[in-house]
Amino acid sequence: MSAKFERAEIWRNRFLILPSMLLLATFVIYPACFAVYTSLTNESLTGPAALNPRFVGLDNYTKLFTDGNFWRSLAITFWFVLFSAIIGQLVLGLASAMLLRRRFALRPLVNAVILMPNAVPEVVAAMMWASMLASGEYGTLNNIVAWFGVEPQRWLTSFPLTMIIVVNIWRGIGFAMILMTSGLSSISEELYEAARMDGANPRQVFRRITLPLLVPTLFLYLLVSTVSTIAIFGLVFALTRGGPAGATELIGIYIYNQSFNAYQLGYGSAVAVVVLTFSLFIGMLYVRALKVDV
Amino acid sequence: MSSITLSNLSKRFGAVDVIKGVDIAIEEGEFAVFVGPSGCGKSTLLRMIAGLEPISGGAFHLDGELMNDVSPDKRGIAMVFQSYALYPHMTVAENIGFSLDLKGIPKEEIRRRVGEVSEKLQLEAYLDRKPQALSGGQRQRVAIGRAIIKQPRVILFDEPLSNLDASLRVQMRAELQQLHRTTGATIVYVTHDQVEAMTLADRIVVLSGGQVMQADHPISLYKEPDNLFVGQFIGSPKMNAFPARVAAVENGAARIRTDDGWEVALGGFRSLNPGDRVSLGIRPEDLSLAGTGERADITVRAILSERLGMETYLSFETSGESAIARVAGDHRIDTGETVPLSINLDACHLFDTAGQAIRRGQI
Ligand SMILES: Nc1ncnc2c1ncn2[C@@H]1O[C@H](COP(=O)(O)OP(=O)(O)OP(=O)(O)O)[C@@H](O)[C@H]1O
Ligand SMILES: [Mg+2]
Repeated sequence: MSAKFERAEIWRNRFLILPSMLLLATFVIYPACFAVYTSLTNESLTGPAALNPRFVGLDNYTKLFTDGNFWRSLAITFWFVLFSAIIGQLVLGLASAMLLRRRFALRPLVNAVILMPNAVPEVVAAMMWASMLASGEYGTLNNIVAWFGVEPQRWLTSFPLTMIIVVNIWRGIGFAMILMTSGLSSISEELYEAARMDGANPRQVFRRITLPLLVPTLFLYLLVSTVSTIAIFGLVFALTRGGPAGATELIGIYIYNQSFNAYQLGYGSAVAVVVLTFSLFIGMLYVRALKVDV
Repeated sequence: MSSITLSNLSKRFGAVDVIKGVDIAIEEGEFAVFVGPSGCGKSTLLRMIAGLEPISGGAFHLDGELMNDVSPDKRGIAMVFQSYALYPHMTVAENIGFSLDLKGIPKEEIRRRVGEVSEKLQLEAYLDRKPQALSGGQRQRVAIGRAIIKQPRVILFDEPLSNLDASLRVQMRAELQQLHRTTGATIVYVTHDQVEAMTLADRIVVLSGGQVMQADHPISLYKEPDNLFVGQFIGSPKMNAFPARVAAVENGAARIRTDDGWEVALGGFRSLNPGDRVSLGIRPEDLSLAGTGERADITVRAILSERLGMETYLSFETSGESAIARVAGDHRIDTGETVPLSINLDACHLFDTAGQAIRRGQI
């Protein structure tokens, strides 16, 4: 290959990625930079600062560190991600992927039931769950538990965090299952047969063959689901608005509430910047651990 | 080190009969090779012996013990897969020792036995490598190591050498023979390769369409095929079959007249009657160029000659599909040239219209 040809090739490739670079710059990089800038001001939606935002340096960030609500929100987000994405969706997604590799009569139905929640718009899903979890005797769940003699509960008030975790698991199993199915199908059938000939029982096959070979898929899933679960907003906001008393105020909802309910755009941006940095860090961690090209 | 008896064994996938009542007896310590056209059920049969496919009908006895419903790891059978099926996330040592590890045998003991096996297979230098970092031949050896560490009664091979290049195949063939000698295990081996089958086997089982066509020592198969299928399947290029009829039977010799119009007189066929339709089977190597002054049995018109140096494959016209002669030495023969050939009459075969062999001396 001549040097000239190579140069032309390089230019052509740059040209090819131009559209996506433009889109990224307009809709990701510019807003992110703008958020960083806003986080250094006291920009707000009302009051004198709305007219005349002032540069306040790192004031917003120092305030953040002493803001108990911020830390609480961070903790809620942590538990939410841990139990809904990392544990719930992953375990159930993997289990359903393994189940659906077998042939059985109701397989297409089960498949559809698992994938359906993913196809429902999140606000619609939230409305459904609102009716499901409604307090009083009209709530669907209350009707169900009544069969077992349980008193009607105020689900979203008594167990708010648990309930949104359940809702999010319900919504995310399908995605986890799709990813796990593709991971499982990359493991050759002959390996399982070889393991059977070697005398591995089903548990040993899972622990010694399936799981190790699924590691790349698991990491990819963790990367994608951790970052996207941190960013969850609509589903939970439509269901609880972060309440009661901030019990389900995920970090995304906290940012929204600070920016648009408390009108402190600058402060909200500071929180957003911290979360962005955090997500990037987690992403990098996974990519490192996995040594994959994402 | 065990005898295998398959009695009326059958396998059905849904509505499809894949193995249709197979009877095979393989003796202790024997090297048995399954051959047959693609799709005839060789792998299926092997997997039924391994326990990877349930048996639909019939019985499989190992050392007189019924094995139909014994799980694969309890049969004392090891299998080497065509694509090796090495565990990609384990090192060579872990791959070989996996079955022992599963049984909970102490690490020390596993290390010792892996050491022994790897020494036998010249794998000591690669014990810490992952399979990706091995050549095809080395992977093959790891797969064999994984099989023999279990000290199995029977080792099954499904086309183990088909992914290797020609020279490596020759080498591995020798190693397999060595392995068979040193372990004394009964081996069942599936292959497409004639040379592998002929050189390795104590007994070749020729399968077609899920049925056994013939099972015998390789040379017996070659010399006395039971039917036209086996005759044409064993040997390369394949045996020529000339449609013919019996012209006359006189003092113990049958004069066979082919549809092309030439005649041969074959001794020893007593059961024939004039007028019977037969197929005259002549192996390409039993046709040779008639030297000058020698009497030619037939004179044929050449279609194509393939010169291999030490021999020449000569395709010639017949009324049916073209036939082949495999003549010694290098000859330059042009298309259309007429060539005198002589026939090794003692090596000619006759088959009846159903394709069954008619034997000499048969009453
Ligand atoms: N799981 C299955 N379901 C249905 N049919 C099958 C199945 N496995 C094999 N068959 C059929 O059984 C027949 C025998 O297959 P098998 O793999 O035993 O052939 P083979 O002799 O090993 O062929 P090859 O030489 O190409 O490996 C084939 O016609 C195949 O289509
Ligand atoms: Mg096969």
